[in-house]
Parts: sequence; structure tokens; C-alpha cells
Amino acid sequence: MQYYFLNNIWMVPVYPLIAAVIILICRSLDLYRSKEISMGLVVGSTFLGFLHAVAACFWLFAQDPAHTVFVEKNLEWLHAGPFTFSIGYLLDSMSVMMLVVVTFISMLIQIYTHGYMEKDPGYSKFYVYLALFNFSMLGLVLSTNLFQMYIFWELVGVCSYLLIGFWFTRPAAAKACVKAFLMNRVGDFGLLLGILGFLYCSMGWWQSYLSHNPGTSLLSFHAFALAAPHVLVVAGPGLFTLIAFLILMGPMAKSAQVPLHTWLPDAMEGPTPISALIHAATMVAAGIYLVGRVYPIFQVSPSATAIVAVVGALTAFIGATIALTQTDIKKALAYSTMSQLGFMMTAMGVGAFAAGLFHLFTHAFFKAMLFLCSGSVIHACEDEQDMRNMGGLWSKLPITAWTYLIGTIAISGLIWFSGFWSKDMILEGAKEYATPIFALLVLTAFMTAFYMFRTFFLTFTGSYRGSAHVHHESKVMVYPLVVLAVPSIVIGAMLSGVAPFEHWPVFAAYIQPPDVTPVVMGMLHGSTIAGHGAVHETVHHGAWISEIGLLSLGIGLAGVALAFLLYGPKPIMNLEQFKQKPVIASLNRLFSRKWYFDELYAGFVEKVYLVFAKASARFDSGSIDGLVNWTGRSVSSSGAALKELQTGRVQTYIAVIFYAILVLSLLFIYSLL
Amino acid sequence: MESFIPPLLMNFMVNNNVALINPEILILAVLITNLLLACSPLKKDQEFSWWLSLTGTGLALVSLGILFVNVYFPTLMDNQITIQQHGVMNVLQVDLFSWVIRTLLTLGTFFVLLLTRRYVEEKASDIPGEFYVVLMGALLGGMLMASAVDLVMLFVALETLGISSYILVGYLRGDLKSAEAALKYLLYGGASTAVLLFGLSLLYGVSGGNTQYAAIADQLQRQLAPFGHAMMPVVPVMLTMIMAGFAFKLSAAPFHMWTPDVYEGAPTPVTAFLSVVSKIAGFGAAIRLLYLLLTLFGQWANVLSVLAVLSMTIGNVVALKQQNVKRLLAYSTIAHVGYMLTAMVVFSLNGISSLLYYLMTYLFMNLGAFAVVIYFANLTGREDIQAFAGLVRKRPGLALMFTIFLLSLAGIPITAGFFAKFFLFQSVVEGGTNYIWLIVLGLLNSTISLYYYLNIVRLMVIAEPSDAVAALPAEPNSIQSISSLGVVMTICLLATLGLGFFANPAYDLSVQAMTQMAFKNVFQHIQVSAVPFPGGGH
Repeated sequence: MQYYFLNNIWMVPVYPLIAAVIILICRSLDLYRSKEISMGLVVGSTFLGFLHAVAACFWLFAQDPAHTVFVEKNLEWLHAGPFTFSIGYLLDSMSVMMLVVVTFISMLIQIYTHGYMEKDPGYSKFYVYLALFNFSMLGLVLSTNLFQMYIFWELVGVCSYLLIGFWFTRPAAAKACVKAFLMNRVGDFGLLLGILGFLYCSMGWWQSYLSHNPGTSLLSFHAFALAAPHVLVVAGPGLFTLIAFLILMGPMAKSAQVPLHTWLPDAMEGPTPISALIHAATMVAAGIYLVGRVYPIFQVSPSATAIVAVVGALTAFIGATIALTQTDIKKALAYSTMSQLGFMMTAMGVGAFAAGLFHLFTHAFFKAMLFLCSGSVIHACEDEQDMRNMGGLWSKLPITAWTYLIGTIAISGLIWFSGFWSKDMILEGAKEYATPIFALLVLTAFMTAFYMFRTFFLTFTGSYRGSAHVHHESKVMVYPLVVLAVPSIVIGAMLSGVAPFEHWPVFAAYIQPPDVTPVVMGMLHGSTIAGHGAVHETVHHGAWISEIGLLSLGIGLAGVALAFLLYGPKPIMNLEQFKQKPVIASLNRLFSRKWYFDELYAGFVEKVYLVFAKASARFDSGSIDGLVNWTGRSVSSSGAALKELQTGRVQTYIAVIFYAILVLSLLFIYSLL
Repeated sequence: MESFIPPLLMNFMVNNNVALINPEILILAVLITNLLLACSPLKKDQEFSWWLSLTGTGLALVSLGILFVNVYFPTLMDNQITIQQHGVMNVLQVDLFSWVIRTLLTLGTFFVLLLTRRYVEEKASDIPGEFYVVLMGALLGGMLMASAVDLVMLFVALETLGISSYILVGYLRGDLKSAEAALKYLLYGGASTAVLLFGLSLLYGVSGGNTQYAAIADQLQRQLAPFGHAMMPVVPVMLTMIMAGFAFKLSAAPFHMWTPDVYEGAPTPVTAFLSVVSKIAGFGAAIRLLYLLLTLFGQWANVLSVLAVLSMTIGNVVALKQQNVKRLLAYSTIAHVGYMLTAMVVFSLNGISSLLYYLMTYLFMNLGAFAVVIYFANLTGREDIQAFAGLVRKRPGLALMFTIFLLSLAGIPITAGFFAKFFLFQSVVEGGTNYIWLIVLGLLNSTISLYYYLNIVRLMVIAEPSDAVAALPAEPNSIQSISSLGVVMTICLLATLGLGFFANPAYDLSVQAMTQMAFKNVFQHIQVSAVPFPGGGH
């Protein structure tokens, strides 16, 4: 049985695709009307995928050493000139981790969706989109090479676009999906240029690599450790950094890193299950996953690594500051997602490879749960999203409140809950890398605890401030919350090798960056290399709390305390007065206007882009169009002239045959002479 | 089964590989049954003939499938195929190449049958089944053309297809346009056939009285080699005449003039048949014969390239000015033939393989486009381009399908049409710098073609609905609305996208077919670029 699941792992993305096609066909032919069938098909397809993922997990645990073992199967798809593009599946510790996360969380969210979308007329369509998203995301996870990943990368983008704009009759949703699409186009364009640049610098290398290693594919991830140093030598450090940055642009857009982050908060216009699945747990993490996949590119170039670290830290900080001022519960969570993605990106930059992916792993669970809680709240409050109109919901929504509290503790990095372990590892990595980044992250961690507990207090404690009638929580929506609460509490400790889980697999032992050191040493004669991720392998063995752990715990508790004092049941000061103070007021304006990124872009488009566009349009309509029109007219008039030849008289036609034969024969004889 | 067949006949059949032409025999049986039914005093029923022909063609497809599994699939693993293994009665060479062509032809006819259902019933002549008798005859001729390796066989097959086509074009007896088209076609075809026959008889004479290709090749090589080509001025004249005969069938310029008139006048399903099935059969026969001759007499790339460039240019440029969809598709056919001829010019293994792949994709995208046109004509009775305006608002599915077929015809990426052009031009690039100008012209022509293909898309999507579209009833949304036309459109759509996605398996099959084509010796002394299929070591 396990072998079936393991050998047919490529079926994992195919199941949801089949489910989507079945629903599409059956619904358009009106073969069934029951909503449960749509749900059952999609959830079932994801469950099958989950079984595969579990089998793969057991396979991985049986390997030794597990972090280097991989299975790669490729199918030739397209020959273009000397190159063959392949599609296939790659099974290694990273893809297994992502498979588990994506299938598990998808499954729960698909169940939750049944409760959330039950009364929506587009119910089945929504499930089709969900299944298509699963197909794309799982295909992305299993990709063997960068081209294949790029294809699925675009597909998840399309699904995200469709799902954000699911309620496209709302202007805000329609605008948000276009914005997400455009932002991602900017990033993906960079990514494509980066891929092409990388390929251009290593064409010959790949040719010889592929001829020596049949069965692998062009731009295969497992060859990057060899290819990246080669490209560094061919391109030189300057151009190489540019290529690395271009490749990074894709993850920057997808994972909402500054300055390509502004689409993510707007994307909250989509239905809440989508916010939980795509814009918190899975798709936005694809950017981090891609960086992890092509990690050798960043390993061999210290400047590229520095860019990643700085972008990540800035994102973490800016995201947290904006989250301080948000009143919309989903927006606050969205900025917190952005901030946490910044943590992961920083981890990749500072060389804490395992820590970044570990945080991705733990964050997926508790953030999905937090979003689902917010969905439950919104659903109960009749689509009210403003936290100023909530409060005191604890008694009405006890399970939601408890799970939200668990998620809040986890994300704040308080003791023992899952976020604690991964955030700790990241801080440790940052401390070794550079003090400013470490300081920024510590500050962010403090703010995280503060704003998360602020949302908790505003929503669930105090007295109810809204006018809408509060319903009770729906059962089908509560089960996924409870299921997700378990990993949100324990998964961090379970995979960190601490008591009572000493004999469990340790995450960092399985997920390790590819080793480029020997290759680089051979090529560069001992220049410094950034990023030795292996250092953090066994940080937590035996000990519960390290110095960093204590520090992060301390600042976390400080954040909670501050939130309690300001937003708890008995606030110590009037917040409105506090916000009037000069420095606070300007900071508050800066944060609540989201650091003016939207205004900046609008200004850029208006002042620079439109002016340029108008100038080009004038040039275009004057000279280029004139030329084109002239060409078109001349071709068209020659068409009219040739049309005249078509007299319709068969005598003419037959005469043409014989003249043509005469002329062609003469031409032939001439060419023979 | 064996006991019913006399041992002598059985022996003959086994020795001559008669099993290989089972599909042809099936089609013949359907033809005769239809004929007898039409003459018999039984109840005259158009519908029954249709079902019979459809079933027969379907069975022929099944039999082709069985042949592939039993005979051709094993050869994919083994390159040592000799002529004898696939020869039938010394006049047919039923190899993998012919299998591909025959499958395309049968599939094409199957689709055409699905397209005709309502059309023929509405405009039925007094003799039911007549249409299907002739259609089966045309298919039979085409299938035999694809395998003919004998001049007499070739000519007979060619004329079976040709004469059947004349009749099909004139099927609408009461319709003046149809009758005029048939007469024109007949006269033009007669003239071309005379020219072709003249050319073939010259070939017969030059090769010392041989009709079989292999013998001709053998004889010519021995006779002509010591003299060189310039010694015999009759050779270029002969080759031009043979080529002109095929150019007529393929409607390559300047032998294309019949095409627009005939396409417009003929019943639309017949037009679809002529533009797809007849073209594929023509290419099948042309590849066999012209390649034999091309090898023996080099140097005629110039003449072929004139044909290619003229066809592309005339087809595309004149298409710009067309108002009638059928005429537009006629000119677009001429243009596509022009693209395909560039592959013949380059004369390499990859070149003809890409031509074969092009034919596969062309079958689906063009038939799909015709299916949409017929469906639309059934709905509205209009055939002018303007009538399609605003279609997306009333029939979004139909408009979407038409758009995809047109995009594929225009060669836009991810459709099969793109890959067909891509492989074709790539093979021309590999042919060397001599042919760069052909590619440049080909690409320029593709650009021109974008205009008239996308013009229809623009009309369908952007323009206000025409009165014909506005008068359409709301879309029926049930299973009953799926007609035989819908089936054709859906299959063609899936194939157009699928052949794009799985371009390589299809292309590899083409390469295999060309490699196995009986004249292996033909390719041996030519510069052939590397064969890109797995496991096929020479």
C-alpha cells in the first residue's frame, strides 16, 4: 500500500484536477444539484493526496541521511533546438514537507468552506477553483526544475486572481484581483528574466550536464549547487547579483515582500477560506519555497544573500508597524502574514535555511487557523470585519475564541507553542549574521505580540460594541479550527527534539541547504561564502530555552502586557489622547497610511509612467502607425489587385495552368544550367 | 473463418499482406452496400445510409487501431523494416507513414460525416445514399493514394478521389452555384490531370518502361548517373508537369485558381472535406512520389520554393479582402499549403516529419473551424464574416471554440498550430542559410494572416451583435443541445490543444514514420540532421 502511494506520488496534483473536471462537466450538464457531491469530490481528492504525503513522510523517515536523499523522475515534454524541457516530480525532504502542509491544510479548509460558502450561489464554482488551486500548488511543490515550477507558479497566480475576484461584483474585490495580478506580473517578469539570464550564462554547462546525467532535466533543482558557482564565474559577481535579484523578484511579489507587498492586504477581499489557504498558508509561502529550491544561487553570492536578508527584515518590520494600526481584523492578519513572511525571507538571507522553512511550516498551521477563526467571527457577526464593532465575543464564540488565543500565543512566540521554536531559530541565525537585522527582528517580535493580542482583546474581550446580531458558530466551521489547534500548539516542539519528544525526527536534520562549499572552494580558491545553514541543526537538543529564547520570550511577554494595558478589559489610558501626542501622531499616520506605498505607486504611474506613455503614444500614432498603416494599405490594395485575377472564368484559369507550367519549366531548365 | 476462404485465395492474401488494407476493404464494403441499398426496392432512408457509413468509417478507424497495435507499434522498436514486409500486391506500400495518413483521412471523413447529417437530409437528392456512396469512394481513393507505389495505382487512386470530389461539389443539383463550381472543378481538374498524366507517361518513358517506384528509382539511377541532369531537357519538363498535377490537388499557387470558387459553391461539408481530407491525401501521394524524384534530380528546390512563396503570399494577401467565411478559409488553405511546401523545399528528414505533424494539426484545427461555420450557418443561414459580429454574447462557447481554432490557424502559442509552424520553420532553419529568405517570407506571411484571423475574433468579441446574431434564441442549456456538430467541435478542440501540449509524441511518431518510409535509401545519401526520438539508434 505504501508503495502504491509512493510510486504514484505524481498523482497527487492530478486528483484535484480530475475532481475539478468532473464537477465542471457534471455541473454544466446539470447532472447533479447536491452541494455535498462537489465538496465530497474535492475533499476526497485532497485526502487521497494527503495519504500520498503521509506515505512519503514515512519513506523519508526511513532514509539515512534524509536531507540529501531524493527521487527525481522526468518526462520529456518539449524539444526546442538542442534543449529538452521536462516535467516530472521530485521527492525530497522539502517537497515532502510542503506536500504535508498543503494537503493537510487544504483538506481542512475545504471542509470549512462548506460552512462558509453554503449560501453562496457560486458554491460549486468555488470548489472547482479550490481544486484547480490545489492542482497548481501541488504541481509547483513537486516540480523538478525551474521551468516546470515557473509554469505552475503562473497557474497558482491565475487561481489566486480568480479567487480574490470571486465576488467580482464588488468593486473592491474586482480592483484587488487586478492589483494582485499586476503586482505579480512585475515580480514574475523579473523571475522570467532571471531564469533566462541564468540559463544564458550556463547553456553549455547544462548541455554537458544533461549528457552526463540522463534522466535529469534542464534547470533541475538538484543541479543548482553545481550550476550556480559556474554561473558566478561566467557572469561575474555584478551580473550574477543582478540575476539573483531578478530571480528574487518572483518570490518578492508572491510572498508579499517590500516593495511588492501591497497586493496582499487588498487580496483579503476574497472569501475568508481563500485568505486562509492561499494568502496565508500555502501560495504566499511558495516564494520562500522557491528561494529554498534555488538556494545555491544565494549561497554563493554574499551580496545576493544580503539583499534577501535586508528585504526580509524590512518586510517583517514594515508589516508589523502597519498591523499595529489596522482595525479590520482580516487586514491586521494580512499584515501579520506579510511580517511573518518577512521573518522567513530574512532567515533564508541570513543563512538559517532550516529555520526559514521551519517557520513556514509552523506558520502555515497557526496562521490558517487564525484566518479561519476570523472567518468564523465575520460569519457570526453578519459580515462585519471592523474590530471596533466587535468585542466580548468570547461568550458567544467560545471555541473560536480559544483557538484564536492559541494561534495568537503561537504567532507571538510565547513559550512552547509552535511559533516559539521556529522564530527562535530565526533570531539566532540573524544574531550571527548582523546586529541591525537582529535588532529589527527583535523589535518586530515585540510588535507582533502586541498587535496580535490587541486584535484578540478587541475582538473577544470587553463588551460588544457592534449592532449586528451575533450568531452561534457553525459546527462544520469549528471542527477544522480544533484540528488545526493541535499542530499549532505542539508541532514546533515535536520537531525540535526537546522533551518529551526527544526521539522524534528533528526538522533541521531533514531540511538542510545543498552543500556548495566543495564546488565553490574548488572554483574560487577560498573566498568567503555566506550562509552555512547547517550550523543550527541541533540548537534545541536537550535544552528547553537558550539565551535567545529567553530574550524572545521576554519581549513577547512585554508585548502581551502592553496590549493588555492598552486594549484589555481595563485600559490604563485614553487611546485617542495618546494618539494625539506629536511623535505618536506622525508615526500613527505613517503606519495607518501604510508607509505611503500606494500613494507612491499612484504618483509614479501618474507623474512618470503616464507622461512617458503619452509621449510614446504620440510618437507611435505619428510615425509607427503611419508606417504600419501604409504597409497595411499596400498589402491590402495588392490583395484587391490580386483578387481581380480571380475572374471566375474557367478559360482564364486553364490558361494560367499552361502558362505557369511553361514559366516553371523554363525556370527549372535555367536553374539546371 | 479460414474454412470459408478457398486455400488459394488465402495463400494469396497472406503472401500479399492483404490484411494491411483491411480498412480499405471495409470502406469498399460500405460503399457497395450503400450502392445496392440505393438500387434495391427496399425502403429509401437517408438516415440509414448515414448510420451505415458512420459505422463503417468508425470500424475502419478501429481496424486501423488494431493494425497499429499489431503491425506498426512493434516496428517502432525496430528499425530494420524492409519493403517486402509492408508491400501489398506490389502496388501499395502500407507502412507507418501510410498508416498515419490513412488514419488522418478516415478520421477526417468521420468528422465530415458527422457534419453532413443535417445538411444532406435537408437538401437530399432523389437518390438517398448517393452522397455517402460518393463520399466513401473519395475516401477510398485518398487512402489508396497514401500507399500507392506504382504509377498506375497512383493515377487510379488520384482519379477515384478526383471524380468523387467533382460529384460531391455538384451535389446540390438545384443550386446554380454548386453546379457552376462542379463544372469549373471538372474542367480545371481535367486539364490538370491531362498534364499530370503527360508527366507520368514521360517518367514511364524515361525510366525505361517501369511503373513501380522502386524499379523507377533503380533504373533512373543507373541510366542518368553517367550523363548528369543537363543532358536531358525532357526531365525538367516532366518534373514540372508532375508537380503541376499535384499542385492542383493541393491548390498551390499558381494552380489554385479553382479553389475559392469551388469552396464557395460546394456544400459546406464538402468544402471541409476538400480542404482537409483531399489535401492530406494529396500530400501523402506527393511526399512519396516527389521525394523519389527529388532525390534523383536535385536542383528543383528553386521551383518548389516558387510554388511555396506564391501560395503563401497569394493565399494570405487575397484572404485580407474576403467577405465570405468559406472563401476566406479557402485562401487560408492555400496559404497553409504554402507553409507546408517550404518543408518540401528543404528536403530533410525533419522537414517532412514536421510536414506530417503539420497535417495532423491542420486536420483538427481546420475541420473545427469548418464545424463552427456549418453550425453557425445552420443557426442563421449566413456565411459572411460580418454575421459573426457579437457572437460571444449569444453563444460564448461557440465563439470561444472558433477563437481557439482561428488562433491555432494563425499559429499562436500553446495551440497545436504554433508547434506545427515552429517545427516546420525550425526544420527550414536546419536546412541551411540558403533558405533563410523562405523563413523570413513565411514569418511575414504569418503576420499578415494574423490580421484576417484576429479580425473575426475581434468581430465576435468586441463588435455589437449583427442582426443575425441578435436574432438568435437564448442558448439551450441541456444535454439535448449536444449535436453531432458539437461532438466534432469538442474533439477538434481537445485535439488542437492536446496536440500542442503533447507535441513531441506526435512529432516523434512523424519522424518514425518518415524514417521507416520504404525509401530508406533515399535518405541515406542526404544530409539528415539528428533524429530526435528516444531509442532509435541507426
